[in-house]
Amino acid sequence: MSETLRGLYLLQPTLFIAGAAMLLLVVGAFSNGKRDLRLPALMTLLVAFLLQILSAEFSTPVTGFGGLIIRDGLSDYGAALLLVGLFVSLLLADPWFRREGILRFEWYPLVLLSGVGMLLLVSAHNFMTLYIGLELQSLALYVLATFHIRDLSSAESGVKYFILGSLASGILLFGISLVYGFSGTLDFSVLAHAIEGQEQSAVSGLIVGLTLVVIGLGFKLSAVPFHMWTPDVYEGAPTPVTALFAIVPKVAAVIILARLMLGEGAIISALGVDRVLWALSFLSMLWGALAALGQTQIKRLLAYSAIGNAGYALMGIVAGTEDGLAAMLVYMTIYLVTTAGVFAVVLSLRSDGQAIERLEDLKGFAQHHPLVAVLLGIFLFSLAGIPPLAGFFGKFYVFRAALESGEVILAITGALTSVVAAFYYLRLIRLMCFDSGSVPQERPIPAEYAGIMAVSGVLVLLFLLAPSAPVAFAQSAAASLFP
Amino acid sequence: MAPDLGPYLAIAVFLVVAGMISLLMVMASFVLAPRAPDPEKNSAYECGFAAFSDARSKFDVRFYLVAILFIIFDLEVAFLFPWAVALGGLGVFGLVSMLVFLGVLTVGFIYEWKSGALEWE
Repeated sequence: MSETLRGLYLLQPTLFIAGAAMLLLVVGAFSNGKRDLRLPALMTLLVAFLLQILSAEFSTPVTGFGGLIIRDGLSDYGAALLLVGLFVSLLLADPWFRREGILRFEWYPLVLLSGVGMLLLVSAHNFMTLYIGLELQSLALYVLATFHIRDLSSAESGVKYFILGSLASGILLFGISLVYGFSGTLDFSVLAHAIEGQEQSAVSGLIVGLTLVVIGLGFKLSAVPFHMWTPDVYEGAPTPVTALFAIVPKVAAVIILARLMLGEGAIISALGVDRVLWALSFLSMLWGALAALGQTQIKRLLAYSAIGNAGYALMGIVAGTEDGLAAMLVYMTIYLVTTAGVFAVVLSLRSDGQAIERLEDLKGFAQHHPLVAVLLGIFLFSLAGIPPLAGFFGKFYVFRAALESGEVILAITGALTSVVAAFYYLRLIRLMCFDSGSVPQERPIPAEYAGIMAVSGVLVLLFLLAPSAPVAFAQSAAASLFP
Repeated sequence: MAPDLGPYLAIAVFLVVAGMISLLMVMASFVLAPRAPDPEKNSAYECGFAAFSDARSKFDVRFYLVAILFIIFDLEVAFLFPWAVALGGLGVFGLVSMLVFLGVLTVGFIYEWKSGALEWE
């Protein structure tokens, strides 16, 4: 009984969100969607964030429910990041949905439920928890992709996401069943002990199973070659939903990958499964940069940018060291902040009352909104990795960790693809500043967007002044996997 | 060490021979059979009516809705039976777990009821 209570205690932020989501669903249903649920949803995330911080277990990892879940520095760091990302996504969505007149109260419970899945995923310590968390997250996201129900492209994006996502879940489940068949356990640490000391040839079935698990997670992370759904889904989904897709679920996916590969003495990596990640990282960086060159839609461009960024984050896991993991966490944090800023700008773009979708529509944007254009420029420079900005440090830490553990080819590829990526980010800035446009841009910009842009802009600009604080946090989170 | 595949040789021979015989029969009927096509023979069915319309007609989305709702509550019952049999051994923990599960389902039920999924008109 006390084991159950401890499990409930460890999972309290997640359970709180789950309860609040169900309450909001009932309240929304009884008020026929008349009641505004934004404030309760934001408060829920805030309280969950406080619960997570106050019950944080940075010192020693604690498992609950007989090893089904774990709370350690990594899960707390991930959960805090996810909650911030969800909070920002809710803020970003509201003005856009209201403007388009497609806000329904189901938006809030669905976002919260996807958050429950992600929080479960970052604290998973068992393949069963991993699968349930992933499915809970994905099912909510499938529905969100079709959120604009009268829009054909939104429906198309949802159906594509659902079909390909189910396929990936099937591959993941097949991998889990192989792991269970060859080791007799689903628990991460029991599995690691079962592998330890065995010949590599004796665990070939496990290697196949774990590779399939990595492929399933790589799909959710949209790593090349499992990225095919990403541009279509990003383009078709309503833009705030795209923002949610780009900002939040990636964090959960990389953190569970890191725990799987680097937890328990990195035994799973040592089987050679990390070479699969190496390939995913290499291909994602390459294809994310090259395919983005020919894009004409803003959201498709951002989709390829997300693919490339997944590759850089994976590089930190491939490095396999504590520094590598910390670098990955810093990278994801900076990515989250920068992407939130970019989407705040993209969502606020309107001309003639229409939301802007094509890159061409950005022409002459700087003349109408000089300040916003400067901020977007800062975010894009940061994504491209230009020195004084935060994005440069993110890439720098990841490259350094990769070089220190001898992944020279990967680091060089990363540096070269950054150059290619810089080209398309700079092209955007050229369109914005030096080409004159014909369509007048709309003012004023909603306060939420202005606020998020300002906060992201300040963080990206001033990271330079105090890089040690976030890095120290990431280090202590990463240390929990390397006792 | 290469595994000894000797005993499987007979199966390999059998597979090859079976494949060749069936291929031969299909090819023979293709080459040797007399062919005299006419419109009647080429039509979809030689007996019965010609198709009146496309079989893939639209039907009401509410049928899907009812089917989905049915599956949820069907599974709930399938879950309740083993639970009821084993409840003696599960104790308070089992009871509370099932109450939580039923509570979550009830929330979904309230939502679907209030949003009018159960009204057929």
